[in-house]
Amino acid sequence: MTGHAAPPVPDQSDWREPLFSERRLRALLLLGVVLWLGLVVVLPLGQLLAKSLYDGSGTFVGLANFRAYFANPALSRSLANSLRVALWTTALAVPLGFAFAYGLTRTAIPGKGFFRGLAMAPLFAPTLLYGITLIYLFGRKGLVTTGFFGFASRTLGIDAGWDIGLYGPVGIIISETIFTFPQAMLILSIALRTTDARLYEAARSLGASPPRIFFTVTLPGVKYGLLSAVFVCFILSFTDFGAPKVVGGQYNVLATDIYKQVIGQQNFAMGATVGVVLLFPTLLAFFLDRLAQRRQAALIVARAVPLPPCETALVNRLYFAFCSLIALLLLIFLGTALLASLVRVWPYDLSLSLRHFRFGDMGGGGYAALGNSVAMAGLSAILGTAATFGSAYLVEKTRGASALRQTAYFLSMAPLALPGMVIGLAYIFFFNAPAWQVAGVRLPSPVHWLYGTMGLLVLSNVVHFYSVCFLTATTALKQLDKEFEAVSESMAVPFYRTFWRVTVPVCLPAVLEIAQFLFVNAMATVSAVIFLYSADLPLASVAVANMDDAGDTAPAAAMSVCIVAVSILVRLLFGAAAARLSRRSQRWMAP
Amino acid sequence: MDQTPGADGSYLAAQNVVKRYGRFTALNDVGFTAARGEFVSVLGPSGCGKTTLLRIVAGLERQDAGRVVISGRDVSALPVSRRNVGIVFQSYALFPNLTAADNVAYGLRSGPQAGGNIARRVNELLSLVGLTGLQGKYPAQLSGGQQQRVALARAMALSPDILLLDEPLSALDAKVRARLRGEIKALQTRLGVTAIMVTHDQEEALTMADRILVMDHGRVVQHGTPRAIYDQPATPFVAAFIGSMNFLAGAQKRGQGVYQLGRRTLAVWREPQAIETGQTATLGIRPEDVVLGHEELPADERLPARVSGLEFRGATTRVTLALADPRPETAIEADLPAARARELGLETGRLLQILLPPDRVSAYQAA
Amino acid sequence: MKRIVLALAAVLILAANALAAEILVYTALEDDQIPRYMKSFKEKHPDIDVKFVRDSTGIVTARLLAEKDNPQADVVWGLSAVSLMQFKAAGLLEPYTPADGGKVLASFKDAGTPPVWYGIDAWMTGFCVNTVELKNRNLPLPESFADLIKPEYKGQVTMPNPASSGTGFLTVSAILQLMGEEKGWAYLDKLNDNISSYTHSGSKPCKLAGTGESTIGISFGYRGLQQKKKGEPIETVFPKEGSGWDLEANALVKKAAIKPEAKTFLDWAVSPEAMQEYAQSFAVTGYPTGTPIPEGYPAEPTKQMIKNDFDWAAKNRDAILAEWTKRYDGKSEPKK
Repeated sequence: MTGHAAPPVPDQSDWREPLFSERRLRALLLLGVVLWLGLVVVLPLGQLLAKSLYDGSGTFVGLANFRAYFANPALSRSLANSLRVALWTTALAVPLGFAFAYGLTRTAIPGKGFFRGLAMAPLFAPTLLYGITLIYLFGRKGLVTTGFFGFASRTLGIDAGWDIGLYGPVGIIISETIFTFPQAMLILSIALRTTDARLYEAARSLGASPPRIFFTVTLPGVKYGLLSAVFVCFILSFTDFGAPKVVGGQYNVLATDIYKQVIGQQNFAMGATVGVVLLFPTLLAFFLDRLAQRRQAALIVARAVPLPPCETALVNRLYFAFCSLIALLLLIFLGTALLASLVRVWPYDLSLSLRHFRFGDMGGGGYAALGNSVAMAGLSAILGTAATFGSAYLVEKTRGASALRQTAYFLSMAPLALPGMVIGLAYIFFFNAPAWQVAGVRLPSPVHWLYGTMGLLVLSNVVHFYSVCFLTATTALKQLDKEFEAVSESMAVPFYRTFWRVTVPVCLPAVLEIAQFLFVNAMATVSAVIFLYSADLPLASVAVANMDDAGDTAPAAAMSVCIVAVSILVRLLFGAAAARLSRRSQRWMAP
Repeated sequence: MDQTPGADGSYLAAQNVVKRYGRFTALNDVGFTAARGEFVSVLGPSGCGKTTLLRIVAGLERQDAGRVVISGRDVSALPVSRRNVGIVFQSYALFPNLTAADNVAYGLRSGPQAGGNIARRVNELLSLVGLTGLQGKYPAQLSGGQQQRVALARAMALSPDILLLDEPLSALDAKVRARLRGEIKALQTRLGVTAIMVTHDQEEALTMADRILVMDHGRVVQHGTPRAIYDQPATPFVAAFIGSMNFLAGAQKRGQGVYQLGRRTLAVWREPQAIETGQTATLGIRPEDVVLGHEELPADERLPARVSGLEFRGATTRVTLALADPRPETAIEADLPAARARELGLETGRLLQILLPPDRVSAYQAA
Repeated sequence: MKRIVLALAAVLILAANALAAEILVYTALEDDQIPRYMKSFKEKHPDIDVKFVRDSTGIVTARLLAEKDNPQADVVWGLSAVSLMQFKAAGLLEPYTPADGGKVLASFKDAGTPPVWYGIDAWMTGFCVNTVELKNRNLPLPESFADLIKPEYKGQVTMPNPASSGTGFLTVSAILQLMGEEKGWAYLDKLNDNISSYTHSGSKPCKLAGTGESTIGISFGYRGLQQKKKGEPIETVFPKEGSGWDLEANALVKKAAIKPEAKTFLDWAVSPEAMQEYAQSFAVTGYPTGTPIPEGYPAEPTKQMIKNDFDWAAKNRDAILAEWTKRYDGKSEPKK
C-alpha cells in the first residue's frame, strides 16, 4: 500500500477503562449477585449436606445416617409414600389442568376471566387449609361423609353419606391436586397459547379428523409444556408439608418426617439426612424440566399466527360444562372453608359466630401473627422484586462477562430445585451457627445476627420463590430492544439512569406481577418459615399449623380465611394498579 | 491499510482489525479510512462482518487486534461512551415510554438552567429531520419512517464526530426507503458529519455513499467510489454482488488481451486480477454492456445467439440469449432500453449476432 | 421546631422500650390459660416484657436440652416435673427459692436442698367422651382403662403421643406403674388396636372428640371440662383405676447472665395471686388456696390420682419412649 511505516499495532487491544467505569460497576454488581446467591443458596445447602454426614454429637459418620434411614422400615416407607402421593397427584392435576387450560385458550366459552381467576384461588391459601377444609367435607363429621349432616337421609330417606377414608393418602392426594391444579393450568395455558395456527390449517386441509389433529398436532405442540407441568406438579406434591400435616393421619411422608426429626426430637442430623433424601428426586425432576424448557423455547416460531378459538357449539358446551364443574367444586371448597370458620360448634351447633376469629385464647400469636405475616409478605415483595428484577437485568443486559452471567443464571434457577423445607432447614443450620469452621479455623459467623429476625424470614421467602420471579423478569427484559443499553452508553448516560427511566417503566407490568406473586406466596407459605420463625415473630401460616396441632381446627380455618382475605385484597389492589398503569401506557405501548 | 493516523488527512481510520468469536474469525485484518464529512458505506452479504466492524468502530465490541483512530485520536481502548459517536440501530431502539422529544433529548444534560436550551436543541434537531410538531408523540404513534428520523435526530443530538448507521432502512418498505435514502444523504451533507453506513442493499450503497467498502467473509474485498466499484469490480464476488453480471467460465488466455472461449477468440481488455497465459479464466460482462444486432461487424468479433427468453421490465427489457459457444446453450443475459428492444423487434427464437465489447469484458481467475 | 419535638418523642419512646426488660419463658401451659394467668403479672410488673415459647411438653423439653450449650430461655414455667428432673440431672437449672416457695407442699416440689423446681398444679388423665357419638353408635360409657380395650371401641379412641405430649407420657407412665411393665405393655398393645391416631398435643384428642372426629379422647381433665363449657357434647370421665398425673412446675435456667426479672417472674409464679388463678383450672395446686374445686373434677381429687413415682418416671423416660416409638409410632400424626 503506501510507504509510510505505521506505528506498531498491538496484538492484543489494550482496553483502558477508567477505574470507576460503568462496565466495571456492572461487572462488580454481577459479581455481587453471584456472591450473594452463593451465600444464600449454595453455602446453606452445603451445610445441610455436610450435616447429614455427621451425627448428633458432631462426629463424622459418613453415610451412616443414610444407612440408618433406609434400614428403618418406618422411615424409608415415607419415601415410597411421598412418591406415591406425588405420582397420583400429577396423574390427576395435569389432565385436569390441561382440560381447563384448553377450555380457556382454545374455545369460545364465556366467562373466561372468571374461570381463570377462580382457578388461581387455591394459590392464596396455605396448603394447610386444603387439609382443614377436607376434614370439614370428608372427615368423620364432614358435609359429604354425613350426607350433609344426615339431611339427605332424613328428607329423602336415602343414605347419601360417603366416607372416602380421608385421613391418609386419599386426603393428601386430594389436597395436593387442588394445590397443583392452578400451577399446571397456568403452564399449560401458556403452552397452548403459543402455537401456530398454520399447522392446524395445514392439518385440516389434509383432511385430518379432530381426534387425529389433537394427537398429531395439539399434543406434540405442547409436549414441553406438558412435561414442565408434570415436573412442577411432581415436585410440589412430593415436597409439600401442610396437607400431610393436617390430613396425613398415619401416612408418613418425607416432609413431615423432617419436621418430626428436627422440631419433635431435635435430631438435626437425621433431619438433615431426610432433607437430603427429599432433595434428590426433586433435583432430578428439576434438571429434566430444565431440559424440556430449553427445547420448548426453540419451538417458538417468531411469526406464528395465533389460533382462533374453536367454533363448534358442542365442543364449547362441553368445555363450558367442565369448567363450570371445576369452578363449582372450587367454590364449594372455598365456601366450606369459610363456613368452617364461622360455625360455632361443628357439627353440633351450626349457628354462625365470629368467635373463632378471636384468637386471644389460641396459640400461634393471633392477629399479631397476621400482622407479622403481612409485614413479612410486604418486605418480601419489595426486596424480592428489587433483587430478582435487578439481577435479571444484570444477567440479561450486560455484555461480556459471560462466565459470571452464566453462573448467576444457574444460581438463580437453583432455588427451583429446593423445597421450602430444605431451605428452612438449611437456614437453621447455617444462620444459627455462631461460628464457621473454615479449614480448621474458627471464624465468627458474619450472618448469625440474622437468626430469629424478620430479615431471615424475608430472605428465605425471597430465595424460595426466586426462580419464578427471575424467569418472569428475564422474559420481560427479553422483549425489550437489545440495543437500549448501547444507545445509553453511546450517549454517555449511565446504565442505571436508563434502567430507571426506561427499563423499569416499560417492564412495570412484569414488576407488579412479580411483587404480587411474592406477596401472595409469602403470606401462604409454611414449609420454610416453620423452622425459622421465633417466639417474638409469630406468623399467620405457622399459627394455622399450631392451632391445628392443638386441635383448634375452626380457629385454624379462621386464620386461613384471614390469610386468603388479605391476599385477595392485595391482589385486587395490584389489579387496580395494573389497570391504571395500562390505561396510562396505552399511548406508548405497542398495539 | 497502513495509513498513519491523521497523516493522510483521514478523519476516521480502522487498521488491521481482527475479531474472533471462538474459532470463527469475523474480521480478518480489516482496515479502511474515511475523510471528514465523507459518507462511507460498508456493503456485503449477511455474515460478512460488516456489523461487527461497525460495532468495533463504535466501541460496542472490543477488537482482538487492530486500531481505531478518530480525528487523530487513538480511541481503540476507549469504550463507546468516550468516543463521541452517534449510532442509529436497525431496530431504532427508541425508548417506547418516552416521547419523540424526550428520546432526542435523552443524552442532553439536564440542569436548572439547561431546560430551555434542551428544548431549543430538540426542536432544532427535529426540524432538521423534518419532524417539527411531533415532539409529543410516542414512537408507537409514529410511522416507520418517522421513527427512523427520530432515531437519527437522537443520534445527532450530542454533535458526534462520527455517525454510525446499522442497516437503518432495512425495516422499511420500498417507497419509504427510496425517499429516506435521499433525506439521510441530504442531512449528512448538510451537517457535514462523517457517516459510516452498513447495508446489504447495493442500491442503497450506490446511491448514498461517497465511497463503498465491499466485504466478504471478514475481509475487505474492494473499496472505492460507487462508480469505480460498479465499473471495475475487482473480483467475481464484487461483480455479482453489485449489479448483475454474466459469467462465462472456461475461457483460456491465449495472450495479452486475447482469450479463447470454446471455438471463439475474444478480445478482453480488462484484467482486474493477474492471469498467466494458458490459465483458465472466467469472463464477465454486465447485461447492459452486451450489444445486440451488429450484423455488419466482422465475424470474429461477433457471436451468434438465439433469443431464448424475453422479460419485459418496463423501462428495460431483459433478453436471455443462448450462445452456441463455448458449449451449446451457454446462456447470457442482456438488458436493453425499451426503445432499443422495440427497434430490434425481438421475439423468442430469433437468431441474431451479439457483440461483447472488449473494454466492457473483464477476465477473472477461475474460481 | 416540630421536627425537634418529634425527634425527642421518638428518642423517649425508644428509650422507654430499651428500658423495658425482657425475659423468655419456656412453657407447656395451655394457650387459653396463659393470657388469664398473665393478667395479674402484667398488672404488677408492666415494665417487664415476657416472651413465650409455648409447645407441648416433649417439644419444649427437647428444645431446652438441645440448647444446653447456649440456653435461650430464662425461666421454665409450668413444665412437667419429670422433664425438670431430667434438666436437673443435666445441670441445666439454677436453684432459686421464690418468695412464697415455702408454702408449696413438700411432695409438690423438688426434693433437693434447696429445691430446684416448684410445682404449681397437678394435671391428671381424663377421658373426653363425645356423648352424641356414643349414642349414635350405641356404645356404653367407658369408665376405666380396662373398658378402653374392649373391641366395640375399635378405631374410636385417640391418645396423645407420649414423646411429644406430657399428657401422653403421664398416661403411659401411669399404666406401666398400675399394671407393671409386662402387663402394661400388653395393655398398650391392645389399646393400640383401638386407637385411630396418636396426636401431637395433649389437648387434641379431646378437641377431636369435641368435633365428633373421634369418640373417645384420652386427654386431661381441664381440657374436657373447658370444652363442655363451650357447648360441646363432652363428658369428662376419670378412670376407675386412678388417673395418671404430673406436676407442672417452674424453675430458673442456669446461664451466664441471669436476669433479675426472671427471679421476679418466678416469685410471682408461686404467689397466692397466681396460685388462685391456677386453682380455677385445676383441682390440685401447689398449695391450697381455699378456692373451691372447679366443677367436674372428682370431689376428692387426690384419691383419683395414682401413687406416682416421679423418680422412676424420670429415670426411665427415654427408655419408655424408645419402646413406645418402636411399637406404635406408625400411627402417629406429624409431631411438631
